[in-house]
Amino acid sequence: MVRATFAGYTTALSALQANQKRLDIAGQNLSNMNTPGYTRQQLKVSSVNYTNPISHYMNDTQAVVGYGVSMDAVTQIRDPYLDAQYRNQIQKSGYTDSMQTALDRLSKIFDESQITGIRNAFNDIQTTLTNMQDLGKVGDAIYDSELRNRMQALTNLLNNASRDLTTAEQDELRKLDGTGVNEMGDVQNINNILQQVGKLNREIKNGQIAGMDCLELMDERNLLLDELASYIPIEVTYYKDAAHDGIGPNGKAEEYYLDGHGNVVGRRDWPDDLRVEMVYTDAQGVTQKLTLVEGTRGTDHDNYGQLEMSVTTTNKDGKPSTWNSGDKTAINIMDSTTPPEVSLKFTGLTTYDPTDPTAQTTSDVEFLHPTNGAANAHFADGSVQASLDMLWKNGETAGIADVRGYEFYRNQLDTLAQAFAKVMNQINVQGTANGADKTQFLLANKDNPNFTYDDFDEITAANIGISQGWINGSVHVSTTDSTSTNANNNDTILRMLEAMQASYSNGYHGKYIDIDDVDLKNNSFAEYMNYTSTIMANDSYTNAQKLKTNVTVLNGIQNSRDSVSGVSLDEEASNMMMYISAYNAASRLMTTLDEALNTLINNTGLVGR
Amino acid sequence: MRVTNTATYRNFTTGANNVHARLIKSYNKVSSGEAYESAADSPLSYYNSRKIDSQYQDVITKQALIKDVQNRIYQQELGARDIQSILSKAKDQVIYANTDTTNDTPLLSLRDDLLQKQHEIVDALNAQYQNFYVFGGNDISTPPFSLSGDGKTLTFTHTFPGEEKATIFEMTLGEKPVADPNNPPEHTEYGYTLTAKSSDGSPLNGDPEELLLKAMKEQGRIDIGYGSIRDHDTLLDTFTGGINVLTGLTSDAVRGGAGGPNDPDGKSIIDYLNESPLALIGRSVQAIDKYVETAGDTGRDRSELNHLLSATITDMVTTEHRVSAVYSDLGNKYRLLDDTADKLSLEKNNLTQQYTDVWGADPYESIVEMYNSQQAYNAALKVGTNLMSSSLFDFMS
Repeated sequence: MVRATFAGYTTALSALQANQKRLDIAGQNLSNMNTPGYTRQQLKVSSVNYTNPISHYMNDTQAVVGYGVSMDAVTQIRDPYLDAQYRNQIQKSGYTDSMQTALDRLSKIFDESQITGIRNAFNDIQTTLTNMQDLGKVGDAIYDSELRNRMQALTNLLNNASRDLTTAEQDELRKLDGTGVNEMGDVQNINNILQQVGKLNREIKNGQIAGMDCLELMDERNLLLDELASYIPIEVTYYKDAAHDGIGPNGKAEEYYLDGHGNVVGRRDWPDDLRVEMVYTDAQGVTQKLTLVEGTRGTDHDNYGQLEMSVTTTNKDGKPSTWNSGDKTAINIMDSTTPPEVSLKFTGLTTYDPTDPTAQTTSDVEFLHPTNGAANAHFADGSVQASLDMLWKNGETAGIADVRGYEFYRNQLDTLAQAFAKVMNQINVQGTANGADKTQFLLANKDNPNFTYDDFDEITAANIGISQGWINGSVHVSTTDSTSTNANNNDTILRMLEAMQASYSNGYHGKYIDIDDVDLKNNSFAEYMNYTSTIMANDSYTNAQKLKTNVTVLNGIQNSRDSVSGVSLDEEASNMMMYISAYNAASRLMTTLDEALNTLINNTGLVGR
Repeated sequence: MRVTNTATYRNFTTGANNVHARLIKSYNKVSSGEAYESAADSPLSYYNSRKIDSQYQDVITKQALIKDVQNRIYQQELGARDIQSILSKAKDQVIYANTDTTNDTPLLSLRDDLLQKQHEIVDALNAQYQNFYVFGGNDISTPPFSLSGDGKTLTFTHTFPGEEKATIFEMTLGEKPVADPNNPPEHTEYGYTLTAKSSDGSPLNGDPEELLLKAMKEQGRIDIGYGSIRDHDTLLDTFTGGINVLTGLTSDAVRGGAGGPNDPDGKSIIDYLNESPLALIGRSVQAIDKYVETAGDTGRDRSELNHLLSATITDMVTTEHRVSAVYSDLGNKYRLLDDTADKLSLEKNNLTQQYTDVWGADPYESIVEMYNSQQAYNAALKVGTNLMSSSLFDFMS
């Protein structure tokens, strides 16, 4: 066999180049070892076949050898199944994590393990009443003032708790939509991600058509998809968009390389497109999908959808007011007189019928605030749903009773404030002449200067306060109806003391006091607060356990993903040794070939010289 | 499975953070003595501990109050004992006046002494504890009793619950008017006449006797750990009205009808007042005065005086028993409060123990846990040092 004179040099050169490239990739892997989302890369190689055997210098074609190594592509090592697993798990973690943030916020209002709060204020009132029941203190202006101060402390705490609750609710809304505040909200983040993924889809595909691998862009896109999955449940699909991009000559979606005459000289698979779908449950309880990003369809923003939020509140004048994501100012619900009604709307993505490219439909999905307990469209998981659950659900209305949101805790506080005001006012009026002087009420709606005894049902935790009469001295703790037989000065105080210790379930009907329409679930005032704090603690405890489990599972999946796609220092070091050895060997091959050629040229045909 | 550096460092960071968090938690446990930092750490423990805390607050408030009440009851008891003691001494003087005196000078001395004793009784009825009058009933700020210089008129000033004005009762002791001049009684009889008026001159809400009985019905039942707040009748009555002490009628007895139209013995409140220590001493004084006024009269007869004094001595024995019944009743209340205070003290100890059981940290366990956490954290840091130093690169030449 006759071989080309410098054939071996080409082989050695290809080996030098391939190993040099491998070392470069090892360098890239090591450089990005801690880069978030980085997927380790490798050089895909194949041996160069002996492809052109027909030569008049050759005797036969039986013993041929290849021409070295070919560098086919630089690829990522990634497992799409683990990506799907990770995104499925991060939405669960996202839900419990967001829920825990909200519950931690609530615990600052309701957890009284380290602070003296509302429950303790009730105890203080009971202490004052216990002291006041004794001879000499009933009717004493100092003790009357002491009781008023204790009740003032309680009403202040209730006012503060209610305001903190509204602030927490407002922060939750601002977490969802950060318009007008420093940090971006979930709506802005989701929209940014959708926009970036849509843009990256075009850049990656255009790059890949041009022959680039675009690996770093794919990493960036994967990282964005991971983040998106923490907000809402998504499904990611890779597909050939034959209907949109056109079909190749052989009926398959392929990329063809043509020569100057238009002849096909090479081909490879047409680059994949990527579709992102949001998975949700509709109002009928059926799982549905809505496409959020559709490959590279259309131009500009045609290939991704958008999310908007709207919030309806009620002004102090009773008129509704609606805030939208497009508004320039931050959402503010502090003066609203009703709970905010928050709704989300995914809109703007045009979808195409694969069988009929001319058919276009625009799909919108609205996640409306539940009314009358009816469940609307919602997500199974994700931090957005956690925020919606906290804002939507009151833990009591059938259909949406699975989560105790802000409204539940607000109702608890309002129920407590109203019950306390009603009971104390009723007892104090009962102690006046013939029990008829309804001006002698102690607690009132401080926002209503015309408040009367019968308006008790307008009292909430936000507006409960000491009555003007008690403040200016025209109202006192009653020292008992002077017209009744067997009256004692401390009768009103004893009744109040009994009321502080009584358990209210469908009212309280004792020998001396008869209260209707007060239901504290068979608790006293202080116990009701304790009961509410414990419910909050239970919710927090249960959620914390779920979060712990979800994070552990997520870490496990992340470890699995890292074991496939992450960079191992030892492995790269080992590879470096291997590649440098191969590089050295290729260099040695070239030296050897050079020596062989030198022998042939300089030392051949000199027999007998 | 490939082990990557990112995963290794991430897992190490998570582990070290967890161990560090446990260490800080154990520090807090030791320093605060509490087993948990938040309600969410153990919701049920939180629920129970706060319930116990509320009960504890109630107990210590009652404990503080019970001392005050005990002192006041003790003052009332002392007052009643004083009255009984004064009455006893007055009885001795009346016996002396009845039997041993033969001329007017010592009799007048005895009369002055008896008048003095009347004033002493009123002083005892105005006894104060912490600036309020222990026999004033519901009204503790107005001096309840005053006695005219001649000992005849006892004034009782009282403000009823829910009223601003005071009601002033005047009880004047004197010879009872003869009902039937044609059939006069064999001996002179003494008794009170009762009048009442408002401090502001406004009309009264009832006749004087009714109002006096109303004042006597007043009670100071308080929830102090004895009885149930749901039934005030089971609570301890800490009031003792001055008229109740004088007549020996408890507020419950008056509420039951004593002294009124339904009195079991058919007696009116005036009848009871006429048997009071003040009335008995007062009628002795007036009888002596009447007798002394006859000095120089021809055929001066001492039999009328002797008759009245003898009858008074007999009545004094009965009244003495009645007053002693009042202070022994007060003594019983004092003992009951002692028992209640003991019970509260025991309850306080139990609640403290219960609270410690559900919310307190076992000090030994906490300290051991803290040292274990410290060791674990040190080990974690050591692991971190090793992680940073070892890779294949360290061994490549």
